[in-house]
Amino acid sequence: MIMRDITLSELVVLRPRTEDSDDTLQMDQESFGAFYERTARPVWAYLWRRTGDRHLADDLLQEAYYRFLRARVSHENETHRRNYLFRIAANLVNDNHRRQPAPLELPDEGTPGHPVTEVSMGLQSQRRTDLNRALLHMSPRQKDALWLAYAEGSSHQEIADTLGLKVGSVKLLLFRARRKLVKLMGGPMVVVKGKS
Amino acid sequence: MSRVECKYESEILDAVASGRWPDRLDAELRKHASSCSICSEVAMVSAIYRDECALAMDQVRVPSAGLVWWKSELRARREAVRVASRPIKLVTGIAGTCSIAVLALAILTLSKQLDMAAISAFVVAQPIVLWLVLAVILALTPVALYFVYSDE
Repeated sequence: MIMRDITLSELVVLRPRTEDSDDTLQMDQESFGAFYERTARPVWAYLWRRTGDRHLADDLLQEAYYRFLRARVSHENETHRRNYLFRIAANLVNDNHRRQPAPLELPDEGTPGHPVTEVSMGLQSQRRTDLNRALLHMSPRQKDALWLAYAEGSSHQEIADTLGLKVGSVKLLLFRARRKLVKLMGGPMVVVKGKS
Repeated sequence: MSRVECKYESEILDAVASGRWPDRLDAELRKHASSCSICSEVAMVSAIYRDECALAMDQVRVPSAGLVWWKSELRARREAVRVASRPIKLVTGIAGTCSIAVLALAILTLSKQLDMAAISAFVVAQPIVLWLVLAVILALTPVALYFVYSDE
């Protein structure tokens, strides 16, 4: 996992704070650290894919965790806590999109360490272009539902919690979103070979 | 209303996740997927998003938990100070408005009682008084502004 290091000056400022218990945030630093390690990467990936801008994703990540920490909400379990964080992230993306709609940036091709061959890279590149074009015609809620269901592997119940919908509505939303995406990408004839 | 889900969806998702789709799928599931529009769509979309997720994960570069915590804590404290100082600002504003109102009232009352023509004649005759008053105002203004804004 790639992490940015804290600079020495930041550490110096941080050290005295760690001994204080801060009642303005809803978690202690240790619990937050563990929760952050489990959730930061998927949340950033979601933010980046939805905004298409890595700098904006960085800002929204910080904002999402800040709002999460300030929220006076009791969580039943880890899943609920995670869903709540994704809900905040989704709202931030949608608020940002309403303020300044921006075209999606295509991810860099041939990223080091990405396990694709040259041939499949070409296919993937084409497919990514098609996907980006198709996503421009889909609603934010459809994009959120598709990402949560098929990138995050969230259950219908988890998606319902995150998007504030009923489970039945999520099923219908996913059905329509899938159908629209497949149609926009040229129909179900385009069968994608899974990675082995 | 047409159906929106299929009972084989989870098996298709498992097959895509484990890399069995489409080559190493068992015969029964393959037969079903070829005839079920829902499952073929699920497989296609799922495969696309799995690759998208893998690519996004390769791009991930998140700050450390300590830095995010520190920034959040700093911002929370700043926010708390802002909220706490709100009543003070309100009282200061009311006091300032009252002072201006009292001053305006005093000037109005005095201007009615004083002989403005005599004062004007005195100022014209003794311009040094006017310059002295202006000098005092110029000297005191920065001092007053310093005390007003020194807390900020």
